[in-house]
Amino acid sequence: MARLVGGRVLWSLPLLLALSALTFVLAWLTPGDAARTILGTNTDPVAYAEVRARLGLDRPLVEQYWHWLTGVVRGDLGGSVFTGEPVSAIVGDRLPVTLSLLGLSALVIAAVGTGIGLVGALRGGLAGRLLDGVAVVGMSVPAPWLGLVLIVVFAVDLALFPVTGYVAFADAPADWALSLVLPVVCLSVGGIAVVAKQVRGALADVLGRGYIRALRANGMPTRSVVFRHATRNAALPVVNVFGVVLIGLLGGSIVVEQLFALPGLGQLTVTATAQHDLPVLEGVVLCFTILVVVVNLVTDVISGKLTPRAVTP
Amino acid sequence: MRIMKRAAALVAAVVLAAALPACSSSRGATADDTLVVALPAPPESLNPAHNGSGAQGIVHWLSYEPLIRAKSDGSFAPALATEWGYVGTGNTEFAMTIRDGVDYADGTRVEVAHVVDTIKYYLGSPGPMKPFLTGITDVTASGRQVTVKLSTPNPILPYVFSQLVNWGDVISPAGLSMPDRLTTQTFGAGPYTLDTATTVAGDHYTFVKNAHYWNPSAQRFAKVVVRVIPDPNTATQALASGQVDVNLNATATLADQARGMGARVLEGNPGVLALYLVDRAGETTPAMGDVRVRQALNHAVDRAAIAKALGAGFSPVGQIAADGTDGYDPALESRYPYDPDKARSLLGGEVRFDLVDLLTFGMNTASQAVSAQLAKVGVTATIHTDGNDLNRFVADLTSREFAAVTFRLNTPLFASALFNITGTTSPLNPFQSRDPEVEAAFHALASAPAEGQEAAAKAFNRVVVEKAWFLPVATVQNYAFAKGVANLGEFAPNGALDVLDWAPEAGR
Repeated sequence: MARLVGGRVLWSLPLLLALSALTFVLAWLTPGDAARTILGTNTDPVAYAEVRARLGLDRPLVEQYWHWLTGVVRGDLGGSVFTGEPVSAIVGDRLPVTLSLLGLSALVIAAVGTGIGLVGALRGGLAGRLLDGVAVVGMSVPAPWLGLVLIVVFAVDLALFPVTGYVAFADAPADWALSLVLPVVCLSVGGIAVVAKQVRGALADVLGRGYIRALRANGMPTRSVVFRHATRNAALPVVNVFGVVLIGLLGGSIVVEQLFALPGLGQLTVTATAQHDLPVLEGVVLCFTILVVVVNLVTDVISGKLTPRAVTP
Repeated sequence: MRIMKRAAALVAAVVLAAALPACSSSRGATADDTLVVALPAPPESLNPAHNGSGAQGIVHWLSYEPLIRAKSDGSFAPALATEWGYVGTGNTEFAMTIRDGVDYADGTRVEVAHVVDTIKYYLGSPGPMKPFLTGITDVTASGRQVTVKLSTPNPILPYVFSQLVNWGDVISPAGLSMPDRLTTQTFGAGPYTLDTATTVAGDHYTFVKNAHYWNPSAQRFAKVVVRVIPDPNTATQALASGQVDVNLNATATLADQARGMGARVLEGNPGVLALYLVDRAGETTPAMGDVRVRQALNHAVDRAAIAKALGAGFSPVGQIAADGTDGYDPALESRYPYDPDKARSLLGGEVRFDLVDLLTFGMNTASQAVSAQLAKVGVTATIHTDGNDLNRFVADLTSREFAAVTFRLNTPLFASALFNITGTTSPLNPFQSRDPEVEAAFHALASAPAEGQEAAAKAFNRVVVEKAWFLPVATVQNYAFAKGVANLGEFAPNGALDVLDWAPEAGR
């Protein structure tokens, strides 16, 4: 297992390098820059050139990237072009919001998705088809629309939750939970549908195999057959799909954070992109990449636990 | 089995979180003595030198005392300056008398020299509003008086030194000595000061009372929280739920919904949505250099139909000054009536041109509608949209590849004329159009005395309409929604929201 973890961590380094370089190139290819954002539309070329020089934007792209990269190696992610605040502090302030959103969403998806999938697989028939239908609807519902419906019904009409905003867990745990209920539901619905469908399919497949029939023929109780034998064998594809769903949540969190005005990394991504605040954008990309690496690593570790052959050549 | 037990525990935790509302209020932090204002986007910077105009300026309106305070009815009132006015004729010298006995939030006294230092700092700091300082050559102090001298006339200096343009926001010596800190803290003498401990830049900005404010009666709330809520629907629902008191992320399409939920709707300060026919010399599109072609384009568009299609908040307009703003001339509305036959005869053949726009403020929708109508008279307008990316938009404009651009502006006519019509550095004038008649009318406007301003503005407006430098389409109103707030004031053209007059409504 240590070799697996070490290998994955080593592999993540080129990934981080490639993505950070790609972000630089994409930002460079996008017309306009931070100097234009600072100066606005009405400015003279001399002032524009001065600001570009002050921000180092007049240097070759490779040089700019190298400057950023050497800073990262020293543990310095640079500062925001607009506020001068250290990127590490900006990202650090936003990270708990996004981690709360993603973490709770992952739990909800795992619990509800697995539950629905289990019921679908064990009941079959009309209930199974109904769950299939619900899953398709869940995957099809656009998050912005769902979010607005949730806001109107549960935040405005029923006044159960706040419409927007985030409360830190350390400040008020109950308000923290309240501030995240609607965003988590909004972010989780699609993932629940995917996981439910995967659990139902994988479990139905396993339950149809010969050794399960043999266990049943030997008089083993259904509960034991399902939870001690079938679920373990059905779990591998589910865990892999769950990992993909979690990575998909990163993209979804950008939309949800915008909709519910949560001060997380998603909102920061939008602002930094619009302002061409490259150091902040690079910090966010770095953070998201690390999250992806961690999710993949955890998925691999769990897969290895479930099926050792899956991780040994 | 152990895994299943853990899963069950997690599910229970989630259910518990869902059940929590039963024993807790959802209204959040909005107490009666707190004003919560929603913004569509964060301020570009907390440094007044680097922030733009519009609602994002509220972070400065609260924390910096301007020299002159713009009011919601379009008038000006004393603030740090008790008196002001042009010296002599020609609008090239402007004097302000600075109030005595005012302190910054840090407790130090506002001195006349600080006003001079602040204006000089702004002159040396490039920012989006910098063009408003065009022509200022010197700033001096004598006694309580500050005098600004200009090389070229500027008749709107009260506007420039108000909170609307930031340049009246006087910065304390502490701020001027550490300009880097201006982006994260406030250093003004305004009624409130930024509480950095409870502020998350880009998300919410918390302002608490300035204990040293010279006019405590204007501090009607103990605290003001400015929150960024990017989605206008969410912002309106936040208002409905009571989480927000004033929503400045308000749109025409949500106005009826806001009224339905009992909110007060402020409507006004209109901007003009127009096609800027920028290639007026026909450099890349020769036909556009012919005034008859530009006039034909104006005749080919049914503005009333387009405004109706654009929806609530839009009205047809045939000039670049909106009704109620300086320079608006009702007679110009009939200059280019919808007449496709006349348009065809003026065109004399097929015309093609490229147009660039943005998605915001209905610009792209207007471009599409105009393009469809132009097609009926044999004109092909190829639209290139830059989404909401202002950077890309500016880059495209300055590329000189587009003969026209759709844009919306709501600045005083003189400012538009200075930057975008006669100015040679504006991306909205990429071909640097020159015309003796336009320049003469602009000079007359710039140097006109106060009593002659309106006539000069109308004359300037008339010249650019006659030369068809634009294809005006519609005026679009700005909006603000509020609940539980009294003394909202109005939303007059080129006016400012009366934030300091806002007060908690009785019984809220």
